[in-house]
Amino acid sequence: MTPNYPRDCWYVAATSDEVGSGLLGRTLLDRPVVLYRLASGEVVALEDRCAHRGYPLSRGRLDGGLLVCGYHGLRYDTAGACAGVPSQPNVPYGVRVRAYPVREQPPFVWIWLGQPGRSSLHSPPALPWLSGDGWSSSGTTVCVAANYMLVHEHYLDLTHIPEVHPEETPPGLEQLPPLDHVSVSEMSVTYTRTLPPADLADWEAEATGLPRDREYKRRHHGTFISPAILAEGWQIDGGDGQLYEQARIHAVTPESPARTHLFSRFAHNFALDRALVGQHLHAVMAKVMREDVAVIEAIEATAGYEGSASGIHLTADAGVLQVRRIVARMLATETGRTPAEADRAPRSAPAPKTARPG
Amino acid sequence: MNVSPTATFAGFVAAEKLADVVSTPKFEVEELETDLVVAGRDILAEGVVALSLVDPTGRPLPEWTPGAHVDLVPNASLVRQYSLCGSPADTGTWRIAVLRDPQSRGGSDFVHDKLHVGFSVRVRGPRNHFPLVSAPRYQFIAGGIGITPMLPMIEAAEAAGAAWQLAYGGRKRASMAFVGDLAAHGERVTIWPQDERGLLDLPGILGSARDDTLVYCCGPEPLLSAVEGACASWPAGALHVERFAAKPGADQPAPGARDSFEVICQRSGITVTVPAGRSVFEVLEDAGVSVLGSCLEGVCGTCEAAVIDGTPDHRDSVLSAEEQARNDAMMLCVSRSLSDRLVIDL
Repeated sequence: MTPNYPRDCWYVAATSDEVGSGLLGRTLLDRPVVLYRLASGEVVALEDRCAHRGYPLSRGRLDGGLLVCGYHGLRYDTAGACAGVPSQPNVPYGVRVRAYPVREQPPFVWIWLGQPGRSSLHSPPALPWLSGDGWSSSGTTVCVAANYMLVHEHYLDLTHIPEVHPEETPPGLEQLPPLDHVSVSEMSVTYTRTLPPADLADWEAEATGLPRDREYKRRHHGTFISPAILAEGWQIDGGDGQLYEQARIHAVTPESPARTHLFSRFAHNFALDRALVGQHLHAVMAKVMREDVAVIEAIEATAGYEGSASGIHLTADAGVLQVRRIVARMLATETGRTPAEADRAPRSAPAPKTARPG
Repeated sequence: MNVSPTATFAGFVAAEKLADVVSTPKFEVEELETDLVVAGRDILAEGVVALSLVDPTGRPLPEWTPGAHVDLVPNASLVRQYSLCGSPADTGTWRIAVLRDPQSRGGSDFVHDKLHVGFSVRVRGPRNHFPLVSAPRYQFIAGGIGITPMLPMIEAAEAAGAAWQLAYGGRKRASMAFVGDLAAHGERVTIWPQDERGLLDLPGILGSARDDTLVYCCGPEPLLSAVEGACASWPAGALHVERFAAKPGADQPAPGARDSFEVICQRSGITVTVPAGRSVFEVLEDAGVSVLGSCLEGVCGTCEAAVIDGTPDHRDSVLSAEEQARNDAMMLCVSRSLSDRLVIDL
């Protein structure tokens, strides 16, 4: 399958704690990238491929601010320009590797792998759940053997919860009710559903400390913020004037058409002074994530993304269909096709009718 | 409404008490709507006022791309579209510029007379039916207030390193907004006031058809029609136009148009009969099918639906002639049917 991800978008390259004094090599949107941190704290991202013989620069070493290739010792500065070749006095003219725009907004390091000039027109989204203000969060990073859209589409339709995560489903909720609203803008989709009153699931009771002798109202909501990130929240009305919310932020970065880096963060806005609550929620959400990944990988292994996307649509797919439309439009404008053509054939990629260079 | 710290941008679900949440009996797909506040107001030229709109709590606004527009919705019966003319990089502010129209049906008068700094207005969108498709070269043609979508397009073309030219016509220099800002681009911009230079010289501006160039045009109907004529020999898909009023004659029925016809909504499994005098959009909405709509005049493109079977009678001003001829999409608010039955993907 050909890549189906927009490039003109900020994606998460790594979590902040992954980028230390060493060299981190990682494939992002089919490109080998090496990430490292300077003494100043600034993060640098270069093409992970020496301009000389293509050896991965991530297998080299840092010498002050210079990245030294581990093969013939070529040195690169933070802009990717070759600054020295040990075996000759002068550097051949114009030797360089690509440098990618990077922005760090802890806990994430964001990278721009699209048309370089366009990076200034966009910003990585603000993620207030992860900034620490009124929230506590933790996270897990995995590599999923599946197309990135299968990850998005899994989290855009949570009617899978009773089947896939029966232990975490509030008792008595045999199915999730239909969505209340799907709200769309040019680049984003938000959905909400209100759940009928139900008992607490074990994980909810343990985390919130709410009494189990009554039923609670809940709301589930999510937002596709960009092809790189999706956020969802699970709110329990405590009946005590407090809204207990557990949020999951999924940063979805394609490695290749069939592999995806998934940087998930779990946040909650209650019992912030009790570390055990955070540890408990982390354990539950990490288990849920393993179950999610198993489902997503099974679909990739059998149907693949195109097979999955050609399945029938249900009412619950309203959010999924809106997101496909946004992504198809982004791909079309990047490749120089008119979006109208893309909109009407989202499942296949016909040759552009008016192919344009660039 | 309480504002939630969970808000990643305006429109994200605020954490009201769940007790306050009324579950709607019918699930709906809607466009994002949010109340924004006028943070700045500038008179840019004779009859042109620019507004800066921000979220009252300072939250970032949803992302958009050049060519996008928003609806201003002062009340349910007064919905007007305005192109975003600021920078897409500024996620805190949306800018629009509005010309006072002597034939105003209420929209531009409302903006000019009522929307002072500090006032609140409901905004829907953004949406984009005029996107800047990637290309090595662009010819932008603006007439009057049609300059607004061109400003973010120029910024994006510059950022991408594409070649571009702008021809900007208007009645007279004093009525043309942004002329001062555009001067920074030097010879790439041609300012063409009608009282000094006459009408835009389209043959001279466009030259002969090129396959490396996309043409973007926004302005009054006579300019759009003239550019459509002048680009007749250009490759299909090269010309992109944005209309904020219905194309003259677009609402005329085509030969063979059915007065009444059947519409089958494939996904939701609902079939309706559309009688004479009622639109497909109205009938579907009454039948409980969730449909998006905004202008209901065939201009904004919000209600576009994919056509699986049957032949629409296109009466919209959004789709190009080639797009209409493909018969694989239609605007539900104005378009009707040439066949007894239409099957649509809803």
